[in-house]
Amino acid sequence: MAVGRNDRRLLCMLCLTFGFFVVELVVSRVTASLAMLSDSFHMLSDVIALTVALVAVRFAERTQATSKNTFGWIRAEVMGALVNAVFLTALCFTILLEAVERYADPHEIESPRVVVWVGVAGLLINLLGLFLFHGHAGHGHSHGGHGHSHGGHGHSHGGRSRPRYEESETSEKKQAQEESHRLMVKSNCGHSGDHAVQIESDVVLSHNLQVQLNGDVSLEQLEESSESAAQLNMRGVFLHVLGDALGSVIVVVNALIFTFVWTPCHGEETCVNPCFSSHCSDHQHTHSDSPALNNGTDGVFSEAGPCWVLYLDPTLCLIMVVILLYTTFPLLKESAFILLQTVPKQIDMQKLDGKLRSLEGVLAVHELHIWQLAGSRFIATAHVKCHDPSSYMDIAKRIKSFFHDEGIHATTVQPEFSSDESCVSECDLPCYSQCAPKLCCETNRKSGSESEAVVGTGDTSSQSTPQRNTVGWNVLQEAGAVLQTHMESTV
Amino acid sequence: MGRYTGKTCRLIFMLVITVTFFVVEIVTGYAGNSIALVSDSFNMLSDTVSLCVGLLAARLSRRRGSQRYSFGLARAEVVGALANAAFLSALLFSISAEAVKRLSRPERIDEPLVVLVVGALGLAVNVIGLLIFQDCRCLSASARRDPATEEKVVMNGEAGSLTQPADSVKTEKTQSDSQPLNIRGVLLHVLNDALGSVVVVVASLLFYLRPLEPEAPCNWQCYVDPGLTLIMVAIIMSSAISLMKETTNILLQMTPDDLSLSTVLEEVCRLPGVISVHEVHVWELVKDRNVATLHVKVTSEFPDSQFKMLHSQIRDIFHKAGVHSVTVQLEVSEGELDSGHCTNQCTSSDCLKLSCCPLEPKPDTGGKQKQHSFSGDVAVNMENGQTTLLREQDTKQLDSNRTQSTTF
Repeated sequence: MAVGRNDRRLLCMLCLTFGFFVVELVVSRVTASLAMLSDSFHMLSDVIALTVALVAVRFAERTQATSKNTFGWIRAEVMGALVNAVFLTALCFTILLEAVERYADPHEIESPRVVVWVGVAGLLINLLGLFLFHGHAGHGHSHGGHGHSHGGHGHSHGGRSRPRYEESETSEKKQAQEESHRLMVKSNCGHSGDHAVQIESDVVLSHNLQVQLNGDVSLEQLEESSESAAQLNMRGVFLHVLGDALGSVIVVVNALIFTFVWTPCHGEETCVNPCFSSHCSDHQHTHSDSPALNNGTDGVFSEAGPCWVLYLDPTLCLIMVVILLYTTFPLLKESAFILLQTVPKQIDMQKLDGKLRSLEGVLAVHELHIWQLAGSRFIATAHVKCHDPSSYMDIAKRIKSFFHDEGIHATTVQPEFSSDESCVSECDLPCYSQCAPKLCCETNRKSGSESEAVVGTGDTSSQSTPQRNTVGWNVLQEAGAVLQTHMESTV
Repeated sequence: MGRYTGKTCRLIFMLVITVTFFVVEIVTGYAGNSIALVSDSFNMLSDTVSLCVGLLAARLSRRRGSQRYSFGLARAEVVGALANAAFLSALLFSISAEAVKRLSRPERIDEPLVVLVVGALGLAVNVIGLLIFQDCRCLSASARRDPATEEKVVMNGEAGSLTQPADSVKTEKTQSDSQPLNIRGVLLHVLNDALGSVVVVVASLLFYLRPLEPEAPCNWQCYVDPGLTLIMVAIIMSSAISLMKETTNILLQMTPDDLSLSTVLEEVCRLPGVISVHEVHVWELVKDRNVATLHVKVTSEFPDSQFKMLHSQIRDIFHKAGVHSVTVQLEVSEGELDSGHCTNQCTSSDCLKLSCCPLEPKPDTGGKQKQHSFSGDVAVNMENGQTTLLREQDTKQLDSNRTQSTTF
């Protein structure tokens, strides 16, 4: 299972990083090096990020519903991703501030050789981490809405950088399910998808059989459903490790250049350090200057090494911050959008609305909400107006398979029956009028209005003035208009 | 949440003050060459960032629903609060890293007077900020006490006291007496800054009153600053974590704390004609705005004309429980062969992995998993006059008669 593997990888990386943090801490104590101490805190921030991701993964394993959380805990991974992304942005912010301070007040590096060695060790660990998590680099795979089917091959689908063993495992399972579905009777209530593998294992055909699934649930989609939820979380971890790796690179490069290019002030000579301002506040270099001041008779003056070396560190840090922010921002956006209950970007609400309305027997649709729980799990609710209850069950099946085709598999559709054609646009069953501020989204109950007003405001007025309708969400009042939309949408 | 008309105004006012003071501090810091001032100004900058996040969230949450945001952006406040809390945690982490560095290599404060003055000014700015938001909370609390509701009123009362006891989450669900999460996130930042200024003032006062000779090594005075800083970090961190936990309740789509789901479901099941209830989901969009969806199974003999009545009755039950946006899917039972599970499942069993909450098969029960509700939901079946969770009932049924519709 992909989840188990993520778990192991995270634990492994966590132990390594924590161990290295301890090592760096000890070394910094021994050598009294401040740079080492600050690098160790970078490692600690990595540890924190990994812990957050691990907690999220552990939580998200429990996808079943409980009375405390009726959706299971799968969203924990999205939250973990957001927290990590914000954490990383904040760290970038503090690094930025430190770099600015360094520009105003440059420091020399003490004992650069030790720094080089420890920096290299840190870099190795980070490279290992990058290697462990690289499969989740780049954009998340969010193709939940596609309707195309894939054949029965178990090889990688081009452009996906996932480890092969993972893929072949899941693809075998999915194939077995495909076969079982084909042979199953439609009345699949009480039938768990997972165990279908167990009871149908004797009818699993060979891998090469191409299966066209009913309703276009593709192999791709199924593989992704279990992976894309974890995708965001792992991306957050990857970005943290990347940030740390870049930091280590900077530390090593800086220390190397410092060792070879910088000529420091030695205690015995009279030495002037032109890079620091005269009223130096940094006590680190006062001890190198003060013997020079005492020894005024000596005429030899030497200068400390090229000044640009001192500004190399903050400059590289700035570049690193820019790179990190650029890569973190998409993750931040994506996880924020999921948590904000927005319509998933694969779904075109207007089109879907039009198509739903055009189904036979559907008079009107309102309170349509589609949102993403996590990964490819989309949830939709709608109120549908129909003629009468006897025709409803038919319509319900059609609506269900319509949503299925769109990639939405968890739906709740509320039927409303109204013989009165003129009130087709209104909800038959609203809560009391004083509950208006407590609704998920205020709807306008004035019958003359054409707009489906969905308001997220906290105003106290319960019967607010008619809201201006937003793009493409006109609720039409006559059935004739419904036909018209149908025509338009099919064009 | 966001019921005060002046909320955004207050945020903007606070933002203006903070930015001004940040500019003043950084200019003074560089002109007077005091690193302490420069770093304190960066505290103000982080405050500014958190205020911007808070302001953005408050603005966004007023947006109406549209094609892209079917619920509107009401959740922006909660996400903003989480972002602020995480941002604050990161800042606290780096502050504590600095403090530890200072403990291992203590430094003195060189110009205590300047630092003292600017620290005091910073403290004043932050206290003003805390007071601004505190004011409206006290006022609104007295105005909005609604005797009709059974909910308790939370009155924290003290300025800036954001550390709440563990069970306060329940009492927080009053109408609008508690601070909205977003504002709490911003206030935590301001509090952090205020306490930081307090530490700066105390430390610089110490150095001003008992100045250290330039050549003398650092004595205990040099440890005051980092020591107090670490204490401050501990205090603020506990509040930040409790704020994060509260946002977690909403963002993870958890059932509202004050709602007893099983009681509500039992009441629904007691309605005439209702056999069972499944796929029940209740969650909070934001505080006080609860959303519920459920599938209700009715007997096949249920008269069509009664549907609307049943609907209203169900809605009433939920209304009393505090949930006002309910979507009910009615399903007609298929008679005796009906296993009690959803008659309107998705078209293919493979969709189960993509449905909202599939049940993970337990490894020890093996084949018995067949009969479990694959939607994995809380469901109540009242058929035998007793309340059992559907999952348990299935196991019992399986043991007794083994007549389930899973043959192929």
